[in-house]
Amino acid sequence: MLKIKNLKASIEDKNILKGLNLEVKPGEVHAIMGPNGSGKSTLASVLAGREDYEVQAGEVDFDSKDLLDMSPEERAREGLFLAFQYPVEIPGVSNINFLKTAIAEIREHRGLEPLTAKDFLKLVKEKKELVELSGELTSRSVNEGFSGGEKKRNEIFQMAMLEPKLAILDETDSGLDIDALRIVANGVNKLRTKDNAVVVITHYQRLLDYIVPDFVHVLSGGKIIKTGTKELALELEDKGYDWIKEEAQTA
Amino acid sequence: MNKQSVIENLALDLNGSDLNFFKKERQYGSELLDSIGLPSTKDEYWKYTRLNKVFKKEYNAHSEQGSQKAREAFSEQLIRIVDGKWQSDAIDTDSFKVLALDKAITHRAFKDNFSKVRSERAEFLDAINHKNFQYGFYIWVAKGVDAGELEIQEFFNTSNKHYPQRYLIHLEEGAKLNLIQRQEAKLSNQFVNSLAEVQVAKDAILKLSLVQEYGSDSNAVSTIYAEQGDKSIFDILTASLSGELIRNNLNIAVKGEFAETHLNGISVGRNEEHIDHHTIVDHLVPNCNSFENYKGIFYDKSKGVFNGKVFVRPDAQKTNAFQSNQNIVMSDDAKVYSKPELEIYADDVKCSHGSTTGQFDEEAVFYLQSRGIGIKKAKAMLVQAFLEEVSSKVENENLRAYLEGFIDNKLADQ
Repeated sequence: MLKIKNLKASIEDKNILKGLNLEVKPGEVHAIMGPNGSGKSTLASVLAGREDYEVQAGEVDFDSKDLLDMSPEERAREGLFLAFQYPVEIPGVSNINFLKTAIAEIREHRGLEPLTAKDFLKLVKEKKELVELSGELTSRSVNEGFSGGEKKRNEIFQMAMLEPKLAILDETDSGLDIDALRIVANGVNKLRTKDNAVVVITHYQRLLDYIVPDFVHVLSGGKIIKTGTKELALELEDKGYDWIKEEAQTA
Repeated sequence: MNKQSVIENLALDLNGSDLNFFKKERQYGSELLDSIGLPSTKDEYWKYTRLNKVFKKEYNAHSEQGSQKAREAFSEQLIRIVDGKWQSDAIDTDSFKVLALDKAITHRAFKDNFSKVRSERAEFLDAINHKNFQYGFYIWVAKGVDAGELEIQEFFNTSNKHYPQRYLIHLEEGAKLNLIQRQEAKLSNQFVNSLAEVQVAKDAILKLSLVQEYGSDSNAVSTIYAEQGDKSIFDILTASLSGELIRNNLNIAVKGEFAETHLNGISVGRNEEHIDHHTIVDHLVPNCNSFENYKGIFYDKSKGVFNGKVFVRPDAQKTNAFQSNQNIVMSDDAKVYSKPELEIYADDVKCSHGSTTGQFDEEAVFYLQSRGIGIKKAKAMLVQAFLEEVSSKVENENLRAYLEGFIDNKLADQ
């Protein structure tokens, strides 16, 4: 589904990604861990198409299409979803209107009939239960006045509504208490199918107790320096990152 | 620039058809002109808006008639006026009158009130208007009468013409009116110079929506002098949508206690358009509230000017005055000069003002895009959201949809 080959990217002339390789297949969950400044969020941003980043080299193939050639909205319409680390507050745009527009544009892109108002509302009702989001929050302006936890739940609610092929969760666990973490993780788990995939970017092993990864990658210095299974995450929690960095240097 | 040549350029030949009643008014205008100089950018009031370009154009020569296309109506009660010719019946009942000025002079209240609300320090263009005013209308709503909603569409259908427009809106005690006034001058080299007097008596409620659309080389200066009585409400929206240069002078004297004033504005500047709002709210008595909220979007090389003054006079204790001006500049070449001002001479008041001008929130654009929303649509949504505070207050749904659609279309052209 997603094939990243030798990806190099920079921001303001600072090289962040220095030749990253990653392959994600349908039905898989990948965790990307790594110390601060290793390039985790850069990877998420580059994949979602944030303009500030410049891709210098490499290829990203998304379902046999050149992802890097697409605008951010095209990527979303093709089935990529980024759950933001810092969801943006947009006063004056209602959550519902926002999602209605997004779904309309995505369906049009995919050659699907527009959803009827009734079906749309049914979908909203069903999906917001998934992340235990109150009705009041869905009708308010996008993220305006939401608590940190509500914002993250709203991200997963949007993910549920848009049904992406590939979801990238960028530090979705940051700022969440244990209850919110459980709700968010449950939501993600319920959305898993054999056809979609999830990339979880996180600092801490904690989230991975709830969203169990098939693969854990360690990102350091702009490259993936080690790949393992969920046990690797526990080892990192225990021993930190330095030993892997040393291992990578000697290798 | 020579004052006399400007006065001559802006003079109208009224063909001796003028009414005696107006002669005194024209005389007053001529006398004022003897003592008032041309507006100059040296004057603080005109610092950012040069009228030279407007004055230099030749009016009265090579005029051409346009073919006016009908516009959709926003309201059920509609009056269309094309170059002073009424395409719809005037309203002339014992409780509600909407008349052309020359028909209004038989009405006692018109004669009593005409040219009574004006500035002690008249502007040059006020004087030009006093001397030359030609078309316009008179609205009167009798005591306690609710006149409902009325739309007046004014079309200016001759090129190279100066239109000194004159209005008198008089709401008696407890009267109500919701007026939508649309001005459209889309031929070349037109100059619409409006002067309106507004009287909102005790307990009366006037809602006024001004929609201004002028051509890319047509200009407008619109001046309003309004007075409010006890417990009255005056709620005005000025939507300045297009024109080479638009200048609005809105002057409101709050003379009655427990009165409420709402001033809202929407400006959309494009190309090299110049849109200027100067407002004055003068709180003369205690216990009044005023709320001012102007929002502007400026594209290309357009310019926005906002100068809002709120005076709280020594007697005006317990005044609540709020003022805000916010702008988005959509290009590096667009400029906004914003100056909110409060002058407070009373001590027990609540007043605040604020002004922000900035670029588009790129992070919000990206957020919407990342959910599959195309960039143009995303920007349109954000602009609508920015204007929502003002546009949501527009009661007439058609007008609200028109304003939102107008802004969407502007964005789609970018």
